[in-house]
Amino acid sequence: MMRGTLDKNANLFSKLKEVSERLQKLESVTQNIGADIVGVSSSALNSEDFVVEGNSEKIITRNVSSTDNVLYLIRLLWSLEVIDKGNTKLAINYEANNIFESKTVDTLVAGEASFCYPINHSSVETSTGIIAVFWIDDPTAPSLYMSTSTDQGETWSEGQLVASLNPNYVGSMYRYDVAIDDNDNIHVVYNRLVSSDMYIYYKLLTYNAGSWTIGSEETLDNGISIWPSICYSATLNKLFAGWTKYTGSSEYQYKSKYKDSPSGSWTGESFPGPTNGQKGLKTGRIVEYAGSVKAIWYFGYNSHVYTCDWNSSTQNWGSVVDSFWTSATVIHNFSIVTLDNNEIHCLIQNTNESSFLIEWRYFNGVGWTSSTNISEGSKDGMPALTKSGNTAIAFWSKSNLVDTAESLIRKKITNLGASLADIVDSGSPTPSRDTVSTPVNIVSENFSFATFAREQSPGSGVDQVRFARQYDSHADDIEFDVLTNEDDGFEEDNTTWDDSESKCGEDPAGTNSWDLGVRFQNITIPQGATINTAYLKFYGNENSSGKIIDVIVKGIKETNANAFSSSSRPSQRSKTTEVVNWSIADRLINVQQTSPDITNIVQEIVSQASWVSGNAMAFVLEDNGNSDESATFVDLDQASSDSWYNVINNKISFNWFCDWATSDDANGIRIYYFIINNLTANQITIRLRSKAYALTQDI
Amino acid sequence: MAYRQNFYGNIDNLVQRLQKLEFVSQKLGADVIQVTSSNISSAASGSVSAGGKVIYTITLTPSAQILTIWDLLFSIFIDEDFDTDYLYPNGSSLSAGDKNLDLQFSVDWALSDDSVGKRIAIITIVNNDSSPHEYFLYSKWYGPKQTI
Repeated sequence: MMRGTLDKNANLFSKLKEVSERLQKLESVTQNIGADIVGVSSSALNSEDFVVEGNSEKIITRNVSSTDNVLYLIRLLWSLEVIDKGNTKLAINYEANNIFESKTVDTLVAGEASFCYPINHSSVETSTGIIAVFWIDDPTAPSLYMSTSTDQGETWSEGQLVASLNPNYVGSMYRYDVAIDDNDNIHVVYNRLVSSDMYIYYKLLTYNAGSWTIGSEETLDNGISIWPSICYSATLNKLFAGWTKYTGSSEYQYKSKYKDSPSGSWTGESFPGPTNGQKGLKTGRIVEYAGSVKAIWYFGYNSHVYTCDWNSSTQNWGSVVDSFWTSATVIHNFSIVTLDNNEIHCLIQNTNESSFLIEWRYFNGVGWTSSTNISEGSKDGMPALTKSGNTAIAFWSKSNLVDTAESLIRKKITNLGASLADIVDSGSPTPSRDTVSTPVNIVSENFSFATFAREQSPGSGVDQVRFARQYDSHADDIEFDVLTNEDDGFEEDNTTWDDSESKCGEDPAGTNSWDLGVRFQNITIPQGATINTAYLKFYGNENSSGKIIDVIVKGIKETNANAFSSSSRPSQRSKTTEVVNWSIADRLINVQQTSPDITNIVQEIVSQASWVSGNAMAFVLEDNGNSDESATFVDLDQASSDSWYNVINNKISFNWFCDWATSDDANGIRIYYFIINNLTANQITIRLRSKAYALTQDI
Repeated sequence: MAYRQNFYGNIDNLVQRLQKLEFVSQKLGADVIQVTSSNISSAASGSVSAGGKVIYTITLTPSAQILTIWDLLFSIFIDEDFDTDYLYPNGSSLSAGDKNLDLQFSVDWALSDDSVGKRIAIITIVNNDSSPHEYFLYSKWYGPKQTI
């Protein structure tokens, strides 16, 4: 009995001791709870460069959010650098009105290319600037192809088969249209001969990382269905297809279907117009208008144009408005574009037996204006419209549609009238029949384009798909940087090349002279552009003594300047006739110094017949023998980024904070603002790198 | 006998609960590091003349007077109180002149008091515009909620 009691007490004490020890351990852990338990997780490093124009502000927002919508304590660590410090620059301001550059998209083995009718579109541009051009290869094996360019038309991908057509029909009689949606998917409608009928088909080309997957074919309509067009309304997020349907008894009607989303199914088959009183072949398209869409079609032989608006409430077309265009005898080649201000501009080829005229009208919200003849010859044709904001731009084929040498001309139309712009495309093979196809848009403020087919010689069949891009004036300076270490350096005593420093002049003893060489790659200025101003901009690499360094600025007279090297030194290269003397005065470390205007030098280089936009351009600052000191500038080898606080006194002012009002506690979102003011007159590039750290709730 | 069983039962129960607590402590963090926050404080500067400045002092005195880590979030409305069209820096009604200001803030070490967990932030706004402006400041502190 006693023994049992002792055993039980021992057991009791043992258990109590165990509890005490384990409690002690737990208490100890809680003392170290911060170190042991509070983990830290972090986001990926975010790094982004921003250009800040001179005397301008840049507001950068950093949005930090937790993946599980839980509010954490977040610390954002960041660094800000000025990253273009030191790069020598070439700043050019130019005009390029009337200058086109033509590129071959595809050369056809089979012979003749066919573009879509001018009322339709042959090209689209993605949100990232990829241009896709479509055409039909004709006549041997009519098929619809696409080719893409990621460099604004400089180079093109191999033609990709989109749809095979029926070889028992002349390819040039097939029609197609393309549209692009907000996700860069391309929608294609086209027709194909089926027995003795003509069906309408649709394909979705799904975009993914720079390429498209071509979807399966859907039949939109059978019977005799022609002139397909397609329109994507971003506002409605709907896709509309329109075409002309033969309904019997020599009657054609305009017909449409729509999708509720670009990836949805086709529905809503309807005829926008009434069936009576409009017999005859009609052609038209559906265009975006005032937040919705409008269908527009014409009856080619009676000068009537019909329109009706989409009613979003009823999901159907409204009543038809019949407009009588008195001056049009026979309408051909109808092209339409809606400007940003909702004016619908239209070009037609007004044809009679003796002449072709290009007539321009626009719908101002109430009715169509009277026509203006913008053609220049008696047989101008194939008018095609595109737009830039509130400006309509027309392309057409000049003078003669068949078998005589001609050029493609462009005309820019304002809201008030028409003004002639220029003529495009020349070179080999000689253009003989330029079939203009409707371009879509403007890639940038100084760039527009047209696509067309070109025949190598009269009657031999068109053998090239061409892409002509036009440059306009560039209102602001374009700055080009030295890109590689090899592209700036100096030549000593006309014998050796050293790319590790950029200096010119001579040493005080007068025993060595130095010529600075600098080369800029990818100068995107078209051949023949008018240079308004041009300057070289260097950053000082020394605080000078006040001694003036006299140099002569010369251009390297090459159409695509080769890199400098020990065997291709500045002294060994041809120079421009145009030169500019530069007396380089006070220089300060890291302060930009601008050369005198070197417009004439740059003009001499880009005026060379074989200069091509995108080529390289080089200059040399030759010692003129008068100096007894050198000027040294920051070489790219030495150029580096710098922390903002090193340059804040004269470069930028800077505020940052985490905003309470726009942050969201409920979803664990923190909004940080970085407000940067560039206090200099020069554009700078800054790099903001940031990384968020949060207390994680794991141990 | 019943007493002994109850006694030993209580001991066993205590051990089991300890065991459970030790096990639960593996996800103690999820329970511990919650976030608490202060009330929203607001202040109006009155008219700040061109070139003038306003200095706000924001004091946090936590009710549990222990030292911990606090984050300060704040917003500035310019000329119109609590109107997001006037929220610096992206308010749609703010002109370049309205936004022409220098903003500095720091959590001051000398003024803060570790012994009671007090934190004092200093926010300075310098009006660089040529016109006077009124600045409305809203702020809120966030810190870990020390539940154990």
